[in-house]
Amino acid sequence: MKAVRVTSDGLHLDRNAQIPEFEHEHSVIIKVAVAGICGTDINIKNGKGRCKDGAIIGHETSGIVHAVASGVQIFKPGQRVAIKGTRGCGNCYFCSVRRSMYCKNRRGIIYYGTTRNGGMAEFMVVDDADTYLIPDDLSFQGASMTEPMSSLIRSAYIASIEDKDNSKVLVIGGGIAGLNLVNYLDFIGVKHITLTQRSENRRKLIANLKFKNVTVLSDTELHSDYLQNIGDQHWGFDNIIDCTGNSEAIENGIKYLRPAGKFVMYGVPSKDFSININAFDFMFREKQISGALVQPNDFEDALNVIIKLSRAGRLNFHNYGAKEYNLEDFETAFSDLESRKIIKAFILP
Amino acid sequence: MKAVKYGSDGLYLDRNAPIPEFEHDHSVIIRVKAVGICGTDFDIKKGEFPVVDGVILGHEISGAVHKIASGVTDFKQGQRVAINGTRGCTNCYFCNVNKSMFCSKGGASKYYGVVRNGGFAEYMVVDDADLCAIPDDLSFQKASMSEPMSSLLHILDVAPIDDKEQSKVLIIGGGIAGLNILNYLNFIGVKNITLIQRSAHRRKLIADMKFKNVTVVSDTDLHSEYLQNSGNPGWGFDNVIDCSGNTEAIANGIKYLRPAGKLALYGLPSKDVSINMNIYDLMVLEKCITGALYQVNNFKEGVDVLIELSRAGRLDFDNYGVKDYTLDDYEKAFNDLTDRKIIKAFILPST
Repeated sequence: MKAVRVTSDGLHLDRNAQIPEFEHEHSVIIKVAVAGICGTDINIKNGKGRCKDGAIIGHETSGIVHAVASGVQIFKPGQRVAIKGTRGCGNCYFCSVRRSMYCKNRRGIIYYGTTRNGGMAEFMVVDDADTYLIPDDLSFQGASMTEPMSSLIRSAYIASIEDKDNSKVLVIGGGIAGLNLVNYLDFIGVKHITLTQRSENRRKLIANLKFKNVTVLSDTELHSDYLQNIGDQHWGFDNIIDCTGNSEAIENGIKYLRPAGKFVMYGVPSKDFSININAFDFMFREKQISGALVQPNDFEDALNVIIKLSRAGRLNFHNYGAKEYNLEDFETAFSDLESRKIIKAFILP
Repeated sequence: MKAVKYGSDGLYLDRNAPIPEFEHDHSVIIRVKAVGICGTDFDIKKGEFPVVDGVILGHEISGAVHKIASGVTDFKQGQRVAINGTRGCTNCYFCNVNKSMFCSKGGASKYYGVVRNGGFAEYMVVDDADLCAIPDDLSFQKASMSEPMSSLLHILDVAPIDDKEQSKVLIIGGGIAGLNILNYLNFIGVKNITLIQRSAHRRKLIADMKFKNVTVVSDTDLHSEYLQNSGNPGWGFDNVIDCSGNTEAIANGIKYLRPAGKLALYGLPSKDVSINMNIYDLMVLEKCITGALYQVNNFKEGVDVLIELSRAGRLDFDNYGVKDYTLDDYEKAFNDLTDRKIIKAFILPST
């Protein structure tokens, strides 16, 4: 079969990859319908991410059940499914406090597409416990967005928006992550959402999406607003979620917190990036800064959210600037993303 | 009356302060029986904590009702009470989300002993809504600990301990704040508590208190352990509570977190100091740094916890090194605390 693999030289199309076999009696073989490309995949391609040499890349996967091993009771060939990126052991401290991404026994960071073969291939083998049925009215593209949606929902959970009607929420960065987050927050009824997006083109794109409760600003406009209001203790945001990982955006973003505000880092910063925080300000104004990664058990909730968004007509990716590609065209997909021609790429093996 | 006030030259005893009068029909005049000295009072004394010039200090207060205004129905003359440091308007964004210390009409802007006259005086005027009745078996000294107790409880609001059996908790600093936190967490059944205390003398004092499930270490010992375990992702603490305000301690506290760990800043840090931290580490390990200031709506809960601890025999202050002083001796109280002769001082203005 065809598959895109990671090697020390970057990504390669293997035209003669073996069709995967059952690994144990709970294996399910999937005929992949859609594999989404994620920012993490771009990092892996550029040698900056963690990946097993030779692994097939791709962790945002949906498809059709092709074959099931002897111990699989729930799934049957032909069923439409979405695949969860990772799973904890359920039996260690971190799993017991709902943080199985730090699971001691499975090293719970996403394994498909990094340490286990992933979805940019015609077929993929997964565990039944990572497989979820999807309704017929949910597109495979939509289903493949469950994995990124689960981490966005987590960022919103950690941001802990106190009052949907009155809390002031800022999302920094209007790429696919920021857009998906704003879409979700708007959908669940958060009334005061500001989104900063540097590029004027993208601001126009977002305006066309016609969100009700979202104000879109450039980062310079917001910073001017901040400077004009220094000294006003009530200016600022109660919940800020950074989707850029950009050092300057984060350092400025922290200044935009108002008392008791919470800053959540969702975008992955560079490894060596440090910032200075004023501990007095954090303590005396009870501010908070947290990381938000991904929590495997959020996948089911995320799938429910994706289904609802889809049925509300709120998952029209092509309006977002999303494009589909064949496996053979994976290089174009990556370069279109990196050159910002598109905001999201789906590979259809 | 006598009162200890804040002035630009520092604290001073005013022997001729006017006895306070009713401010409105829900005013209560209190005969102050016990007022605790707090770390914040030291910060105020040093000019590092914003206060109103000429204010009477003291925000950890208990006393007896002396006189009530016409609209007061819940309290009677002679009744023993604890006094809540401040209150919000209950009608703004911050009050509605339980952050009333930032209320623009109340909160920190109405704090006794900071903005409004406090308890380092023979009498004080309060609003009836700031009072909480206390039982006869709770001494005035202990009752004055309600305010610090409710602020301590708030730490657990902003940085909850997920699992009493398994979560690893570190308290930085074994002064009165750290000890109170240690005492409370131990009492409610947190099983893995470590306390950092620099002074060997204080470490011994704490060891003599015979807490179960508590390890007391020096800061250097813990740091060695951290360095020895640098490759081990399972080493570290799920909750670190800094009671010191010390820059180096806070920077280390961040390092001692294990994945998904939370650092609560409870001690007041210096104003101009910045702490440098690796943000990638914070993000991928889902660490959290949070301020833990105060939450005014839980005063009654603080009083209830204090009563419970007292009745369980867990508030035996003599072991901590505690002393009572008169108003006239307030300077000695501050000095004895600074010299670490004692760990807690109560001023009893009615003696």
